[in-house]
Formats: sequence, structure tokens, C-alpha cells
Amino acid sequence: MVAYILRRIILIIPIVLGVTLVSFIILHSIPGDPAEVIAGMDGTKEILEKIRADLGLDKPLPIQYLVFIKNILIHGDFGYSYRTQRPVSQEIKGRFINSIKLGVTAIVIAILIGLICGTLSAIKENSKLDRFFTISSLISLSTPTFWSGLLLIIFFSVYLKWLPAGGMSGLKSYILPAIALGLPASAVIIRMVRTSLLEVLHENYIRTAKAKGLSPLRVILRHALKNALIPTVTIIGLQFGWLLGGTVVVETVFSWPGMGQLIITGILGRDYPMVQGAIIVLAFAFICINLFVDILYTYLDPRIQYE
Amino acid sequence: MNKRKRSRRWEILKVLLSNKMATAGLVIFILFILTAILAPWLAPCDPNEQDLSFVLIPPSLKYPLGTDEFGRDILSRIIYGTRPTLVVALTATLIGLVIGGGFGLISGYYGGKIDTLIMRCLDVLLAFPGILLALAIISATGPGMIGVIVATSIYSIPQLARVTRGSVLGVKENDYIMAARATGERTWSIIFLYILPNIIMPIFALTFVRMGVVIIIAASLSFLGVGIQPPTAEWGVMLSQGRNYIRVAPFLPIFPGIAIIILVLSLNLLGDGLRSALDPKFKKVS
Repeated sequence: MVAYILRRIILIIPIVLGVTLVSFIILHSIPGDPAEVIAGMDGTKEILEKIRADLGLDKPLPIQYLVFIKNILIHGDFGYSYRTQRPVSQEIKGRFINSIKLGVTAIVIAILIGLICGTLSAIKENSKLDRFFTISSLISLSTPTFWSGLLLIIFFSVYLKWLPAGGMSGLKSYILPAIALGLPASAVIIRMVRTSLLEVLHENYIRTAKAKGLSPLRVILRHALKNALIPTVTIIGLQFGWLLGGTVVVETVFSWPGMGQLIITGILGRDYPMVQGAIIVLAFAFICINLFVDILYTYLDPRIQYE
Repeated sequence: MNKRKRSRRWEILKVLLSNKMATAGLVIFILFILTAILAPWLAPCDPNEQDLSFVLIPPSLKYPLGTDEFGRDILSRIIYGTRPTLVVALTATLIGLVIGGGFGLISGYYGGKIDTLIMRCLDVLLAFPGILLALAIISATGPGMIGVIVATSIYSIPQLARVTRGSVLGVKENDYIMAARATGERTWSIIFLYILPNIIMPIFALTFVRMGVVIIIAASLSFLGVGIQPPTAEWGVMLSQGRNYIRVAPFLPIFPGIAIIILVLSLNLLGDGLRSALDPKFKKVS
């Protein structure tokens, strides 16, 4: 098992390097000169050259990339924001935690909805309830999160005045953005729970459990769900990773002080160290979650051999 | 051979049409395309014509979906909004299909080192969660229609490549491929005449679902202000501008969102229906 985990960790190294390379290439092909952005209107030739030298922008691109990788790996340093002049890593730190908090709340909501509705759907297969859940999950998969977010604001903040329309202030402020963010994920989880539960429900050991006279609830909870959950764990992990990308959109709707705002203002203000740092951190979190899920999966399912 | 192929396609169409949801999806999608083509005749007003004496009017007989902050007719803007949406969706999906499908074919057919190299590169693209890859790309191309198309095309490549590769692996070892190879057919004719026709339908099924994702990503980019720019009549743009008036005119952001949902839903229904029509396991059920 330890050897397997080690091998998996080694396998993600090229992917992590690839991610840094891709973001480096993409963000350095941006038209326009960052030195001019920093200097603003009154940038004389000397000032521009000094800025370029300070930031290492006068060096060839491969060198810039190597310096960039070295700083990330050794110092956790993503450079300085062109806009605020503060270290990107510091700007990101608090924001990243805010995004993770929102993401975790969203995935918890998605898991709750997914487990309950998916189980009900499978037990009452082909019933009206099952059809209702199937159709609503199809619809929520087709709904952009920014639209469901706006609708939640219109209904719960503007009309009912129950919940705040934005910002991050106390538990109440988590509810709406987490629902908007979690809905598509819950739809995927409902589908997965339903399918895998239906597969398990036809197995012999379930028939045995029923024949023993166990209550249907007990059969579902103790015997069926336990096995049906194994493939669901993978889906949940993947969805959590996707939520990290999705926060960017939902954060904009709810003015959530997370990574999303950092990335959008960074793109509009050509602050590429910031955009680069934020995207790399999110991608790295996504890779780590996938790794964790893979390992958890082999741990949960003894039928899988890790060779 | 040709007759059998045609009858198989006919069969798929028959099963597809027997699936009510898939038929609905197909019909709605065609209606959206017709709307885009016939927009000038269907729209009651010019989508960009401002009338500052009729600003933020709720839905009424004259303006069925109301007017926006510049007094522009929302219905007309939604009708014209099908154009940028479908242009981006169709172009990006087509580019993703050609490039991604191409990589998938090469990767699956040749296997070995080429396969490993291609798949590892695609893994890197897949390591950017959700919309992030599109955001990173658009930060380089700059906002606008071209940027959105480039970003969503590249975004579509890895997924379509993976499915194509998987399908190629599924049919590669079949006897008729072996036979074709034994008779000395050229590699390219094996790929295009023997493999491609047998895997094209499942890839199409996924393509429709991916097109739905592309539409959502493109609308999100415009909503975030880094995609298609105002004053273009585009749904994401309309939502992003309507957002500022939700307190006085809550109807403003609702309708463009419904348009997105119906279009994406139709593609999902179509993709799901096509997939079950192709899967022999589902045939018994329907």
C-alpha cells in the first residue's frame, strides 16, 4: 500500500510540472507589456527598463520559467502582484481558505441531497418520485451556477429578505452560494447513487438479508448503501475538484472574497503573477484531491489490487 | 455492406425517435438553430435599438419579456443571442472534435509511446478544474468572441480525445480490422474506413453533451466580463448586466438564463437519448 501511494505521488510530479509550464506559457503570451501596466501613465523609458530588470522580464523565457519553478518549489513564492505589489502567496492564502470553505460547504450540501434523493430514487425505481428526481437532476446539470445563484438572491435576499445577497459574514452568508455551487454536483451524485444502488439491490446478499427478515431500512442502510457508496466516493471527489473551478463563477455572483475575484481582477488588470499563482494553486489542489480519492478508493474496495 | 450500414443508422434514428426525451431534445435543438438563422424575421425589434423612454419595463403585451436598462427589447435580444451562443458552441465543439478526435484516433490506434505522450499531455489539460483552463486561455487571447472560441475549443479537446481513444481500443482488436490489415490496407484507410464508421455514433452522443458544457462555459465567461463584450446581445452578457438591476427589475436576468437552460437541456437529452439508443443493453428496456 505504501509503495502504491508513493508511486502515485511520483506519477503526479510530471502533471504538476506540466500545469506550471502550461500556465507559464499561456500567461506569458498575453499581448501587452506588464512593465507599462505597473508604471501606469508616467512610465519613462528608464523606469520601464528598471521595472523589467527588477521582475526579471528582460531575461529569456526559459530562464524565467526555471526561476519561476525554483521559487515555487523552494520558497512557495509565486512572485509579486503587479497591482498590489504584495507577494502573490500572501494574497492567495486567505482567499484560498475562503474558497475551500465555500467548496466544502457546497460539497456537504451536494452529498446530503445526493445521498437522500439518490437512495429514494433507487428504492422507488420508476415511480413518480424517481422520475421527478431524474428530471430535476437533468435540469440542474443544465443550469449555469451564476443563474441559479442570481435566482436564489432574487428570491431569498431581495424578495423574502431572509439571507444576505453577498459577502462573507457569518454562517448565513454560506447558504445561498453553497447551494448554487452544490446543485450541479448533487445532480451527478444522485445519478451515481441511484445507478450503483440499483445494481447492488439485485445482488444475492441483499436477497439473503431481506430473507433473514431484516427491516427494509436496515437492508438499505447497512447492506446496500455501504457497497453502493464505493463508486460514489470517486464521483464525490471529482465533483469536489470541479467545485474549486466553479467557485470562480459563484464567488463573482455573491461577492465572495475568494480566489475567483482574484483571478477575474487579475485577468482584467493583466496582473499575471496573480492569475498564474491562483490558477496553479487551484489546479494543484485539484490534483491532490484526485490523488487522495484514488488512494481512498483502493483502500475502500479490497477487490482492487494495487500493483 | 452499404445497405446494412444504412439500416443500422435507420435503426438508431428509430430508437432515438422512440425515446420521447431524445426526440424532444432534437426538436428543441433544431428550433434553436432555426431561431438563430431566422432571427431578423422572428425578432419584433432591433436588438440594439435603445428607447430611453421605455426603460426596465416589466413583461407586457408590447414587450413580452420586458425591456432592459437602455429600453432594448429583451425578447429580441434573446432571439439574437442564439447567434453568438450557437456560433461559439458549434465552432468550438467542431474544433474540439477534429483535434481531440484526431489525437484520440492516433493514440488509440498506435498505442505505445505515442499514446503515453498524448495522454500525459491531455492529463495536464485535465488537471485544471472546471472553467479555470478556459480562464487561463482567455487571459492570453483577451476578451471577445475569438477568445471564447479558442478557450472553449481547447477545453473540449481532452474529453473528446479520451472517449475517441477508448472507442478505438474497443474496436481495434476486432476480426475485420485484423482482416483489413492482413489484406494490406493502408493505415489511414483502416482508420477512416474501418474504425471511424464504427465509433462515430458514441462519439457524437458525447459531443452533444459536451456542446452543452461549452455553452455554459462560454456564457460564464461572458458573465464574468472576460468573454463576449457588451453591447452584443449574448445571454451571459445580458445576465451580467441584468444583475445590477435585480432589486428594481428582477425579471431581467431570468429569461436569458431560461434560454441557456432549455438549450443545454435539449443537448443533454439528445446526447443521453443517443447513447441509450446505441447501447444494446438499453434496447431491451425501450
